[in-house]
Amino acid sequence: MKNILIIIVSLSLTTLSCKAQQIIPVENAVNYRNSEGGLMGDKDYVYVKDVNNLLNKFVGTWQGIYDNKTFEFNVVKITEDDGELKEDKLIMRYKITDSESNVIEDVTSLPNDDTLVMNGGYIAKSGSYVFYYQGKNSDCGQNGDVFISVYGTNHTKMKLFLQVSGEIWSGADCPDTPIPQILPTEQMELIKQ
Amino acid sequence: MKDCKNIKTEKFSGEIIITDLKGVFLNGYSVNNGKLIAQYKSKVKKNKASLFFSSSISAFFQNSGTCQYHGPCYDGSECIMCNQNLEEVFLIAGGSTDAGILVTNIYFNGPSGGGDFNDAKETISWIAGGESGGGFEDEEDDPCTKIANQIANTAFKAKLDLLKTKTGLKKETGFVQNKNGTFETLTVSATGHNLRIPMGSTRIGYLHTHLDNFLNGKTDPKTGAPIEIQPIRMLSPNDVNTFLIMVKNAKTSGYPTSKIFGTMVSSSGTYTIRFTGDTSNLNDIKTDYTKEEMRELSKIFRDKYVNKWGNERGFLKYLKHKIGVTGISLYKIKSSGRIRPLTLNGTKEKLERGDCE
Repeated sequence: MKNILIIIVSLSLTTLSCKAQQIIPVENAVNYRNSEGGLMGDKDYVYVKDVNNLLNKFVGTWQGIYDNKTFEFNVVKITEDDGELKEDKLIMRYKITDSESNVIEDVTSLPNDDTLVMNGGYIAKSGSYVFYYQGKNSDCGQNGDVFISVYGTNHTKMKLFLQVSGEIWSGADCPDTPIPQILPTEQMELIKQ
Repeated sequence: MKDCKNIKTEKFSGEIIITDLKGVFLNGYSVNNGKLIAQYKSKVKKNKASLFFSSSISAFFQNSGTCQYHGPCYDGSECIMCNQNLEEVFLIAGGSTDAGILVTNIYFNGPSGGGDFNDAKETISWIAGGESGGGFEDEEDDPCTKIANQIANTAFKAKLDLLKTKTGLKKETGFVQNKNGTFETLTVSATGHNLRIPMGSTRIGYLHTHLDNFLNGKTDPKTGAPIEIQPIRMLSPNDVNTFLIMVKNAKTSGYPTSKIFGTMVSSSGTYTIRFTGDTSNLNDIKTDYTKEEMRELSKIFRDKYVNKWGNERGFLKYLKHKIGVTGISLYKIKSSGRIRPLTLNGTKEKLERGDCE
């Protein structure tokens, strides 16, 4: 009897200490964009979860050449939890070198929360993963959405492009001619390394 | 026009009154020797004078019951200022009492980008204060009344209605409004889809579109599905910062900060922001962000606010918790004209939709 009582009390305490958790499959998060309640709605705790393992195919190092430049993208999968919203998501870093191996841009050593690192996004209805991108000159239009799509046998090929948003911040001292984009604006092909 | 000198041999001196076809006063000037030296305003708001032109002008405001050419006002006076119950605001360009603004400038109906008032294409308008077609904002009106009057203004409404037809495009459309009520079309950044809002002391607000989802012509290589772009349909951190800079400029130039606005038109609704806070704290509100800080704001806004909490609630939480500004009020303007203030309520900061009476 005493053991049963202990079990009942333990179960009750366990229930009280856990927040009610709403799970949203990661492929459904797109449906909450521009929605009234967002991902949270009236919930206390939401988990955007990769229940169908859709993110794993993007993970890895991808290389390709575009406009005489070599691009290398490193994609990892992480889980972040801020106490209200828990998310399975992708993080992408990149390095760009010219034909003489001079580095044009390299964010591969930056931490996850650096603004130049593409941290998180959503799976589009088309199947691409979409990152919000900002370059060093984001204030002068180097910003937009980066789409990555994986295909081919064993998912060893990737297509990537930047859909430029081009927002220019108020007060920014930008030149009259647009700042060039350093990411490809047309779909480039990359091979998994 | 009423001349007070022999205009066959001398430059025009006298009074110019501009009215609509019903004779309702729109604008008026006192002219001396071919130069505009004062402007007339309706005496609706007694002892109030609005800073009407750019702050590059030295303007002296004087509530005068005496006409330059006809002496003190009396019943039956020939002075238009007297018999139309107007008050005179002296404009002395460059600070010199002998200076003035060439009378031919009243034929330039609207601005060409603002700038120095002594420029021949400066912003002298036929319409006083942009009050075309009725509807204007009194400084003492509450924000609801201000917004209602703004959207009733014919010129403003025309711009708003136009933008509503443009949300389905692939690039933003927008306008900036100047102190004299005129509008300038905003230009899209050369390689992108966003607008650049030119700043300056003459700007009092902007209205622009945020786009519907659109297909960009590319397809997914695995699924073959068309790729869709999904812009966020809420005022952005940049929109907020632009608005705050305009508010600060207004305070510096003596223009009512409550008249400054930022408006976003989308298929999800039309939203507008107004400054309703304490203007004595304006200098404490940060607007000079570094590049890194701007990137941080933009990133956090998406990830931790609008995507997480929804556009309206997320926006208000962003104002409160990320940039710590409590003086910005958000309103949604329905297609019916109903204006709904949006606020956060309670410890859980639920979204509350009010109603302007």
